Amino acid sequence: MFRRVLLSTLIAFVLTIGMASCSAGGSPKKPDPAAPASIPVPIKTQPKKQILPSTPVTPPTPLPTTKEIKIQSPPKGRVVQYFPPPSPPTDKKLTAKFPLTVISRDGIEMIFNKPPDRIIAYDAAAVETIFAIGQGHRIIGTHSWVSHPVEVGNIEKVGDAFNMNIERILDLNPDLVFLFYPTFKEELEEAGLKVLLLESVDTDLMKMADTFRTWGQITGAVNEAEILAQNYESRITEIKLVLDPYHSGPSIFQDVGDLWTPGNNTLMGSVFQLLKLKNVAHDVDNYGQLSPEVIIERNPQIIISSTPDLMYRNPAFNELLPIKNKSIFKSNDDYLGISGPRFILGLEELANEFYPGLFK
Amino acid sequence: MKSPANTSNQDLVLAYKYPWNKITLGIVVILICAVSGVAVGSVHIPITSVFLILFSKLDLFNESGELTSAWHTIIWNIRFPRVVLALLVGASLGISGATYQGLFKNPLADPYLIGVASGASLGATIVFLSGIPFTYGYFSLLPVASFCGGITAVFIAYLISIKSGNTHLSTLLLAGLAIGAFATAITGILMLRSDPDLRPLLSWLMGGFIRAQWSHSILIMPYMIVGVSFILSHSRILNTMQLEGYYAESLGVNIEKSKRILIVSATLVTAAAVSFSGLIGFVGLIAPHIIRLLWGTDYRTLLPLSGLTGAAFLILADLTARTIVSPIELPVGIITALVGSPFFVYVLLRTKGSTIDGY
Repeated sequence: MFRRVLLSTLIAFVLTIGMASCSAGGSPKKPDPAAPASIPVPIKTQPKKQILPSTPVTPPTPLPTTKEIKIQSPPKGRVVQYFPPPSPPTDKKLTAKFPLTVISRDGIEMIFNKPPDRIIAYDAAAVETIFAIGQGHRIIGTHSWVSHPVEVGNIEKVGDAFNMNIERILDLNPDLVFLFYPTFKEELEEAGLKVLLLESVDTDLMKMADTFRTWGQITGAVNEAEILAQNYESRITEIKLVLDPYHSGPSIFQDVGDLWTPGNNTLMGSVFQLLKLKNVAHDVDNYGQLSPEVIIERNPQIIISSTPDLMYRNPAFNELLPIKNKSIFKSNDDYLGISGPRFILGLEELANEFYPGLFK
Repeated sequence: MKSPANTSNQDLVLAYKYPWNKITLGIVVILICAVSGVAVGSVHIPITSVFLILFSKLDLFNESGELTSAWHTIIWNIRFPRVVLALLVGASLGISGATYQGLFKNPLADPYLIGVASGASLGATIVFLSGIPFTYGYFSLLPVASFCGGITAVFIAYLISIKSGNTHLSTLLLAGLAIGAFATAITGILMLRSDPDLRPLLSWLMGGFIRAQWSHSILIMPYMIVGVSFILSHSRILNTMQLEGYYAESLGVNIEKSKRILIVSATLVTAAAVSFSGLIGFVGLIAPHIIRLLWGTDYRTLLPLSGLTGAAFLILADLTARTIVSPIELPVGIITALVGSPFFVYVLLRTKGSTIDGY
């Protein structure tokens, strides 16, 4: 009896260790696809400690420009304009065309014969976009977590992000229900409502402009939407151009709570890519809870978090530069968390924060 | 082979040899688990460096130059406190699970049975969502709240069962279930009616050791020592409780008082464990059953060995959880169920001669 138990315990033990060491052994040797060995954007930090003695670290090459980029001392009192002066006005005025065909997320064509007047927009980004192109009067309902712009206060809330008061929605008699996720799609359609889901902006930042344009077409405000979209595109392009001479910037870790972090195929991952920030979670797909030891080993030069206290309090992270300098960047979830017109503000905020002086 | 379940009840009160050899084996297994837990992780650190770092902490060596400070932090501030916390929590859950099973004479009893888990979740949720700044320097209100919530739920259940006439254990069980369901409902309402970013709370509720720090182990240690020593000192009484009521009384045992002590101690230990690790299922349920199936139902053996099994199991489960899809971590509860249930079934099949009737 005794021997059998010993044996079975040992077998279980050996199996676990086997599994564990297999997966653990392989990972550190993986090449890093997101960070090509090239000219790093120079950052004024303390001399970087060599962490993995086995991996050669590329020595820093001279600066491509004379500007020195710091991360320790962000400029204070930076003014971020909300709606920028419209970019060079387009000469030709666009006109709204009806009937209009919109392709929904699941590839179904939806036909609009006229702009909907009674929209229930169950998504913060859609509400903001519709208001930004001056068509906010068309929205008659949304959910209770939408709080921007202030006019939303007068719009009826027909549920929160988890629940939806379908009876109340039917009572409001909307001519379009816009959803961000398909949970209640079938119920609403069975009740005879027109339900639209658009393709979500996951990995391609430029797609957001197309969403703005689509809303312009649907509501008839094509010119306003075109201005919004072009403004967005030009601001993204400008960031791209400014960062073009550089090959890679500082490494970054974003903590969205309890070390959950965005990896590849996420909107934030694309933002980091645009800003040439090397995401330490480059080998994570979608969102994942990153192992704290991996964070320490990969030694991020920038940390952004909406709850910095949790990282400050853990003594394990004391040696990380952003913790030592008390410089965890508290990100504005209202901007980067909603893929609407204010998203670009969050993006520019990050760009200004991490490359001070580089952007005008 | 003499099956333990065939031991007649009278044997329990006869001469008893403390199972030193089994306990020694358990401690050796735990040491092996702990060393591998510290040595293996998602960052590859050579085993020699691991030992150098550990010994340098003991001032046996001067720190060698080739050890980077990152490795030092990983071993000393991440893996080691994590293994120790998993050990303490696993032991707590194992021992309190065995206690509840004996107390309620119910093979399905687990440490979360009489509302501890639901109460703890409610406490944590209230603090989390109330917007009270729940961190003050290194001190966090979240575990305190979950501890209070867990204790309160059990206390209310206990009051109800007293009101209903006696502390009959099935009354307590039912009252605990009712309180638990009520607390879960309140937690649900609070979560639905609040701010959207629930990720940290959900991740706490799911359980795990990703936040483990030395201070956590130090904070739960006093509760554990007090609770566990009370439970262990009552292991003989737990044996007599398995007899029919009049037997126990004829042996001169104050059953009511012992029940109270055992309930309070087991709840204390569970609530302390829950407060930092969140809700980790399955350990408290299967650890005692494995020991019971293998070595019989004498609580003097069962209690310490359940603790050791729970600790070893949870260390290995956490090790797997943090390395199997490296660099991502999985919730440890997934692993405890995934690895635990087949192993439990295996033990169940291997020992089909005996039964688990020995309550």
